[in-house]
Amino acid sequence: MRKRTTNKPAAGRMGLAALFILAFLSGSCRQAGSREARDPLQMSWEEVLQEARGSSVHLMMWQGDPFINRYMNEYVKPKLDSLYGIRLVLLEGQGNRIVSQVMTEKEAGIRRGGIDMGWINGETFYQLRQIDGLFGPFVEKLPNSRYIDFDNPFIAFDFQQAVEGYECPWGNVQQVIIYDSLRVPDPPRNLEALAAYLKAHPGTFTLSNDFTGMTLLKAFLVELAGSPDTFYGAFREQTYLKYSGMLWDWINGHKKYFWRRGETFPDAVAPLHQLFISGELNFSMSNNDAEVDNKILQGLFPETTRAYVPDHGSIQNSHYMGIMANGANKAGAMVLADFLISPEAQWRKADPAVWGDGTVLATEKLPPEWQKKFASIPHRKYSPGRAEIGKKAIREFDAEYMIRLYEDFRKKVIEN
Amino acid sequence: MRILEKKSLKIRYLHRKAGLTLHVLLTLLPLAAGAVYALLYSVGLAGSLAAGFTLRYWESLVSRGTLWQTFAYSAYIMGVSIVLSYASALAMVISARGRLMERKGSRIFYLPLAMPALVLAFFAFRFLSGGGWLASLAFGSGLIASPQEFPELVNDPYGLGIIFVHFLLAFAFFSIYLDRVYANERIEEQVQSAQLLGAGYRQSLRRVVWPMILRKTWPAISLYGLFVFGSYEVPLLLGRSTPEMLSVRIVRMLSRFNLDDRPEAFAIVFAYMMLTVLLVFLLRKSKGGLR
Repeated sequence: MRKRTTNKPAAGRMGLAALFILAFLSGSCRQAGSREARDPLQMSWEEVLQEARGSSVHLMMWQGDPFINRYMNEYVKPKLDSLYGIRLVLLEGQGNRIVSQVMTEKEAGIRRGGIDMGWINGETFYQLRQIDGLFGPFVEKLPNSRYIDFDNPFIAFDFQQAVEGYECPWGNVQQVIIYDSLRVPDPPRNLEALAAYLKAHPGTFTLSNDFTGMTLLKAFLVELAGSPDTFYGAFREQTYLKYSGMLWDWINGHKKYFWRRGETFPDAVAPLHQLFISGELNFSMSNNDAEVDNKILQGLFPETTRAYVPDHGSIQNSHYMGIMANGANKAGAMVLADFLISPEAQWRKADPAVWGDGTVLATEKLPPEWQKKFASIPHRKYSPGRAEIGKKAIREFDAEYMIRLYEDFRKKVIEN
Repeated sequence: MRILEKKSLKIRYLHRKAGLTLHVLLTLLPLAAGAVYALLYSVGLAGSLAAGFTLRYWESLVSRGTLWQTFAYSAYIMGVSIVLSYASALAMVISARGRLMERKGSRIFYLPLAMPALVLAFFAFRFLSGGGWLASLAFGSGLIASPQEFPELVNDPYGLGIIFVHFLLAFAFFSIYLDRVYANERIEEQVQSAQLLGAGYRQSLRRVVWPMILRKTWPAISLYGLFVFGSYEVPLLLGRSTPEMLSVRIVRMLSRFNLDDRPEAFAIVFAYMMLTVLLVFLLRKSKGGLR
């Protein structure tokens, strides 16, 4: 019988070996992390361009739309390469993934992270600012930022939080409700009409338990309060409790007529679209007001699909590009951001056959030839006009409202 | 000669130690580090927003009944999927007398195993949802007048869609595995011996086949059960908003808008890891368990 004690020195050697390897690995990481690049905020734009040439930029973005993917892969990538000698690498992931990765890298002390830039919106901006995850202020440094419409509160403020140069506006959209005009000739335009519709057609309506669904709930809050002004400014607990209470009462009072009796909700817009396409639902929704044109052109929605904004209005917001504080290639990311807000890139993106994303540029500030080009962008065929729905645009509320809506929707509706 | 033997023994000893060191470094150490990190995160001692030791995340989790609901629901899905698939596979292997894989077309059992779980889940969704192929068939034959009338087979309260996909995967796995065990353990010969000694068919199944197979396959059942318990893609697509399976809940909490939810997610991660360690420990202790 072998004595157990003979293993002790071996175990000790093993432990030592493990410690040595760990020490070596952590040393290597620190070594890699110590290669500090120059701060691009202290450089002239020419120096930024020079620093960025020959580098790679890692952009993390949602890649769930073939039109957007084509725009990035077939237009932005080659242009960035030919104009600035920058290789663009697209990484799949959106808000929560970006925050999670940056947070994990920060907690692990990694100073040269895997993401240089991320496509973000209000909630991600709020989270990244919370953890000091964003680099900046860098927007003023971009030559094309002189064309951005910063007088527009829908662009200068993200969830009521001043952008302050920590994220670069990229596009502007408004939420719409999508329906099939064959199945729903006269869509409900307020909560009272929606209640009547639900009773007459049970199981044909729901909302997604995600950013888009919560954005719709904000519009419902506005209708219940009578005006969006009630929610502008800093978060007010009493206001939230009063109107959210009315909202939960309304939803719980009618959820037996929702899809699956309101016992479950699709967790994203994609399954919501899927249910709409298969005929289970008569409605879908999108935060991209040109979505109907896109999806019809992709052959996913029938040509009888239309979109509208209810009488109480809908949230209009912007989406942005943020550079990560621990990004390895900040200069390259700044050049990419500048290119994305160039008149040409914005004009191409606004075409409904390309993407149909609203521009963040104040077109009156552009040179005359670009003003003409923007004026001649083909009109949408199936989606409502931007000017028309813009009259009913509601600004985003303070981020705290969104946090509370997410929590309470789960507690007071889903788990109720 | 003795010197050579000694040398060979030493080489074998060094190989074993090197393998063990690698195993500790690549598997156990990261897992242990992960568990410690999750524990520290859950008590406010790690993470960007950590503000000092607190038990409030654990208290909040325990006070809300949904945590127990999550564990119970995951256990229910695991139990039903494993029992159904194991029982069906065993019945088939016994009826084929351990020669299932020798039959023509038996390679079809490998097909579900070669597919990613997400693909099978998507297939189940397209097949079983209200707007899916089965519903279209029912609509075409006049059995239902609208998609809303089709019975809920996915995103349903009983997890039928999730169980269906796990059944497909586990049934294929257990069929192949049990067939191999049946042949390797010469169970058919044991059955014949028992019957020669006067045992009836049912008696030989109960007294010979079942104990032998269960003893041999218990570790595989347990490990596969853990795999189902922690599955993510299938319940994500086919489950409902509540109750949620464990991994879906953890990922949702980790990616929530409110960053204060992250410590609670890490608390569940830690509890889950401890549960797994406990199960592996019990398996090692049990007869015929992991060796």
